[in-house]
Amino acid sequence: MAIGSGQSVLIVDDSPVMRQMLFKLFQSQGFNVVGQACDGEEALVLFEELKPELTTLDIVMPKLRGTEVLEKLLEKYPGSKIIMASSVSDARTVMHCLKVGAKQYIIKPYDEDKVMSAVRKALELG
Amino acid sequence: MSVTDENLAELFEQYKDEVRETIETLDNELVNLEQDPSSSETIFSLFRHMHSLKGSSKMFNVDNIATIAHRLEDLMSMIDKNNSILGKHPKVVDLLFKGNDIFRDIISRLEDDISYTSMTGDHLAFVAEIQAQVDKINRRDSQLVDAAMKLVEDLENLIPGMEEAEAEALKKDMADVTTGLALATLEEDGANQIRFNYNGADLTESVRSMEDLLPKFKEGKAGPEDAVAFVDAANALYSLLAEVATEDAMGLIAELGDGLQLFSERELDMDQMMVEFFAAMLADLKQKFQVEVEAPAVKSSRSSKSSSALKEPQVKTIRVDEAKIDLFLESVGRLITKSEILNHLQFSFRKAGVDIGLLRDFSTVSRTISNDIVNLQRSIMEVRQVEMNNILKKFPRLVRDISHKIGKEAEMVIVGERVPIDKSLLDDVEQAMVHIVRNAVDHGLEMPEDRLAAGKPRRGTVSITVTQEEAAIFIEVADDGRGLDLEKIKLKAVERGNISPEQQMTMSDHEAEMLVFSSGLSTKDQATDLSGRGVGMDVVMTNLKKWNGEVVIDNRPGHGMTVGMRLPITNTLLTKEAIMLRVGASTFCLPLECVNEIVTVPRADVHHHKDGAVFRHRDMVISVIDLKTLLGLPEQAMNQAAAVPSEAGSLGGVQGQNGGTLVFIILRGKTDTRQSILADEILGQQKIVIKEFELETFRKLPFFNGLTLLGDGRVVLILDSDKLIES
Repeated sequence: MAIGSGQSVLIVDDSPVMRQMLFKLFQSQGFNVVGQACDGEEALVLFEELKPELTTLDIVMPKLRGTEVLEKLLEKYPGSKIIMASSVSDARTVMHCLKVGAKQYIIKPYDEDKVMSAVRKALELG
Repeated sequence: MSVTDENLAELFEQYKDEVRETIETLDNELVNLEQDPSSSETIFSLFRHMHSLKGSSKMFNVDNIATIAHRLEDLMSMIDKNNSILGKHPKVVDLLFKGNDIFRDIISRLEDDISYTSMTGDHLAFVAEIQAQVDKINRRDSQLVDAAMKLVEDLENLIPGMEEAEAEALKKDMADVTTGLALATLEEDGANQIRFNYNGADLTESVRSMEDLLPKFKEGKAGPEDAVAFVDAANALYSLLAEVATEDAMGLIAELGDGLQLFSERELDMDQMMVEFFAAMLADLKQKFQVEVEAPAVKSSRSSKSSSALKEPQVKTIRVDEAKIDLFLESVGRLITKSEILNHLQFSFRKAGVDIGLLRDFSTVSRTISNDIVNLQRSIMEVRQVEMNNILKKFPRLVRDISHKIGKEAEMVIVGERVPIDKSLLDDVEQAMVHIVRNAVDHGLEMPEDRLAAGKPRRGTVSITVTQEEAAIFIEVADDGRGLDLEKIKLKAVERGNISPEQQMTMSDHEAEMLVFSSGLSTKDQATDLSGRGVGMDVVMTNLKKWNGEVVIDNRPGHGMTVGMRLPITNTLLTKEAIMLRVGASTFCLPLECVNEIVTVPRADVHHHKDGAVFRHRDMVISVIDLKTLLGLPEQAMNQAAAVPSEAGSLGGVQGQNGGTLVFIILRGKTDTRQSILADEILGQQKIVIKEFELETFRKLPFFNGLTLLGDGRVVLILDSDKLIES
């Protein structure tokens, strides 16, 4: 049973492999991946342009860190459904992101179940 | 599972590519780090790449890389916190280099064995080595602890003579320091016999229950009941703390509360992340329990670095399997052959007297198809192009390793990373460059003391500059070493029999310089295991010749030398115009670029000597290469070929005859244009698609460098003019 129903998704990660992995996963689960950004600055531009319903956001990236991207996005678009997907497991970063308003925080390595469970919660819990 | 096996296999290929790229970047950044240990940009870049290496390796269950990268990332973070570590522990960089070599090894083994993902004995040994280094760095910290303890004692003795207020302040500071020190040593020793109190509240129980559960979570052995117990303990801890919280720990306690709230609100899982979060909170809080000083500053240095982090140009690319492109190119090659058939048909039609209007239409279509195919080929060749960076990024590491090994100091300067080069050239160019760069460091650069004595900077420079010319790529490798000692080279060459003593006397400087590329020549008195015994530089020549490249040397005795390699771009196309010729019953082709002139000579003007035939052409004596003799073409075949009306007969057969003429193709060699091939017939000129020999046996064929398929399906060998001239 597909989890998505055509919701638009923006994937932000500096690793092409990670992007590809998430892309395939989202596509296979009935989401519509509308954009992929490979650094923080591009993430801001693409978000502005695409207004995705769901965004996955990496943290350690060139140009602008995911945490800063998160703050900037939520300041302008509060309530946006953003899931942090990073291998940063530093307590303060995790807590900071959740407090700022990230819906979920998944740590690499994540499997499909973990990603989709986070996605489901992000969508359901609003 | 929705990500199919096929997808996974493809992703895994991409993963390996990505790791390979990361390894190269790490190598370069490590070289940068050695040159400028204080560059926080470099340190951050190293950290970031190591971090993502760990992340993606975990994702693909490549445990060995993930584990080692994780340990090295920890090591990196120690450097990050304290730049002086590098100065005190130079071995750290060696470890990082070694780690990179191990990654490289793992990736190459993964090619053959995708299950090569677990830690081997060597890997474990390496991790232990990293740990030993980490301990060593920490021991310095414990030395610091000892020194601080001593200082506290000394200060204590001063207290009796102090003003009361001052003494109080000092006592308080000292209490903070001693507790902090005690905690530091405790944690280091792993001792855990301590009760946790905070403002009169006894927290020991909840802290213990959390700590006892932590290993279970970290090993992935915790069940749902453990998660409940853990969160209960955390909640209990929070309630206790919240009651007695004082201002200094308020923030931290609030953070724990927020964490617990978010945990239940967002229905987060008690996964590795949450456990790490609570573990970290606990560690921070424990410091509060003992010492009521301000919380350790939140690491903020990293976020400021990120804004200045690597400004790598990000080019959007798709990854295409090289084999697929080759397959495509091969199909295009076949198309070219097919269009030659169309050409062929056109002639047949004309001969057969087909209606002229139809013939014109046909020829228009044929020409259009041929043009389209050429365009198609050109665009696919562009797809095959890669940036020079693919080769260049290996060199800083290479130069570093060689110079370290022999006690020299060298700096690498690279210009022109983005110049495109055809992928098929890559290996040969890289091999050639490796030899030249090796020689530059090993033979060219002097030892640091010698350099200083010669008034040069201690550290030598090797630079690679790649420039795109209109129809060629020019690669220049320059060093500021001692340059070539031509007299010594000539002497060596005579000794080794490469040249005669007469040649030694008459040879020009340019010719002497070129001796560097002859095999078996090394002017270094003692051969090293690096540049070897002069083996290698001849590879440069061989590789370049293969692509019709040329080498230029600029020798500046005492100041260094520059080796320039020019590779024509057009040559990278696999199609060439060629002359088709018949010798006996065999058809060969000879690329047009190897043909100087085709001449018809009266039989009578061909003179026979003991070692072959010659004829005079424009005041030059041209010698004749008789393919029939050279290739040992069978007599029978020749007899059969005698049925062909225009048969001119073998050269041997013309002796004594006076009538008729012979056709010679005068070859265009690198230096020599006084050799020719005797052809029985020139069949024409056409576009051929060169295919390299795939079988090793064929590659050893002495006078050919490939084959081509003709429009009618026949296979024809391509003559190698250089090898013919050498013969």
